[in-house]
Amino acid sequence: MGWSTSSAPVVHLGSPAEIPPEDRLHPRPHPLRWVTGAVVLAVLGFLVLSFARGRIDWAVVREFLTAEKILAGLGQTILISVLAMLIGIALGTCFAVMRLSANPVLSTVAWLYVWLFRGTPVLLQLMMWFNLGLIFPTLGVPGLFEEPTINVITPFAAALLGLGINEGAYLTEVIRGGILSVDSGQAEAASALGLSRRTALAKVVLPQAMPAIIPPIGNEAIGMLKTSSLAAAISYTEILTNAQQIYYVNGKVMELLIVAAVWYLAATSVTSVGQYYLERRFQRSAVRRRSVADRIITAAVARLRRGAR
Amino acid sequence: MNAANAADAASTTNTANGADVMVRIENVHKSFGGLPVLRGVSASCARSEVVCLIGRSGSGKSTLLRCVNHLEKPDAGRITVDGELIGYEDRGGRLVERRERDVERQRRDVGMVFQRFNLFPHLTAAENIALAPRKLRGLSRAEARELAVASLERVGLADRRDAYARHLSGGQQQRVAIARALAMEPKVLLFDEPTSALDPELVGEVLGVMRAVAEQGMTMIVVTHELHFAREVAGQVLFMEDGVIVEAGPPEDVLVRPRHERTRAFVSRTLR
Repeated sequence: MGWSTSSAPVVHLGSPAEIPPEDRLHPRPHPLRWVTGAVVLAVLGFLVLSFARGRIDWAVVREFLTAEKILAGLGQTILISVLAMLIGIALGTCFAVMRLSANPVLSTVAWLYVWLFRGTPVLLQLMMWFNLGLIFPTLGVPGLFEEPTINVITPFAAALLGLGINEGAYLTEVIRGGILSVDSGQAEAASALGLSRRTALAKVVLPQAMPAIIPPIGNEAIGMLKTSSLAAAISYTEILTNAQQIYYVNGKVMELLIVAAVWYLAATSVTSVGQYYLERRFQRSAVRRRSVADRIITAAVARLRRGAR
Repeated sequence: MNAANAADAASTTNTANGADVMVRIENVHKSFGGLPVLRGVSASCARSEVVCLIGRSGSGKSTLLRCVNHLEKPDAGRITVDGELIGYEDRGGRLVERRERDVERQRRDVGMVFQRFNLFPHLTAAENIALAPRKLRGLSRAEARELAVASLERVGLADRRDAYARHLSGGQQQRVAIARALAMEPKVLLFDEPTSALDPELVGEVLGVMRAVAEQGMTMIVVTHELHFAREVAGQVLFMEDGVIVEAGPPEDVLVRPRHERTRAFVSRTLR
């Protein structure tokens, strides 16, 4: 073998069996991987075994998994999470644009909003909203209508405000980062065409910011599903509150907590799948690698269109 | 060049070199953080004329160009397009910046082509072109699409109408960018080093499109390093250095028989 030009042409091409053993290359053995793998599996097996032998009444878990009260609580968890996320996205977009505004008052107010609501525990914020009546006994427009705060700020309203406004502070930073990730030449090209800044933002900048915004929003949505359990502290009846109420009565603490855990895992898994599809959709024209099938279909559609004309 | 003798910049009937003036630049100054970039620049561009701005990088050519559509705000001086003062309005003798909506309206008449194309990557070629006419001229989706395809035909890319920017070569992207600017039917088209980001073999197609657009009577101001293009197409060449116009005139003079030593040095170095 070798590079010398005079040597005979290689005849072994494409048939590994004919390669002489001394020329074969071998992957490096990794015996330690087997050892670590075995150790981890052993620990895992021990844990599973412990839980299986532990004093968990799996029949109770199965029974309450579809209990009406649990499912109702799950519904409330999903409802408050979705609504709070929507509020968060709306507030986040609004304050992100304010933060990037040329007006120093607007950008400072946006900065303060983020500082205040990101800098205090969401549990504390929930409690403050719930107890708003202590500072403002009534809410409304003086002279037009007034309502005792306690009637307006229900646990649901307090949870929605607390979670939504807190989320908005985080999403402000996410959306601001997304907007800043778009090349400044894009906004400039839009301006040069005479488009207003609002149109440029909506039609040119934000669509391009989406690939940078969607993954963290997905993370936040998953976080929200779990954070919403804090609303239990202000007696909002979500899934964890209801699980607690059941185990206060029957004493099956761990069983009910496992029930809640199963549903949280299910909900976050579904959200992850949704995030995957959303990401794919928004990468459509930016950097998407198109599959062969996709390209064939697109070409066929284009051909049909041309034919129809 | 002949701008100094203009008495009334706001009038459309003013003439420079005996022709109808489209763009007039008068004594424009601009600094960035205390560093002067434009130091009293005056020039004018007749209707249907092609003016090429040449000079080393950092000489202020791009800044001057960007002042014409108010992407850059000059510190002093006046710029008019078709007789209308760009970016500022006269309020009892004081020139005050116009409100944003007015600036946006003025920009529709001043198209711009960038060095880095700046096509919108999330839109197809046709959508890139159709966006502004739809939003600003109230065209329907179908009308805007028709206009977009017609514009793409002008730059020879009608068959690429549904391609995204990343599937186009640099030269094709720049031609789409030119079509996008043309679709707004601007009074003047600004080019900011339109071929500087292109592979050498793609420069020719873009210059060819620019030449064709010029022949159709478009008023153009082109910042460029392509002196051959300037020589063949420009009616007027401006050589800038250190924020001032050192020499201006027809290309046969500025590029072939420059009067100033600095122009001569630049031209011989660039053509080498």
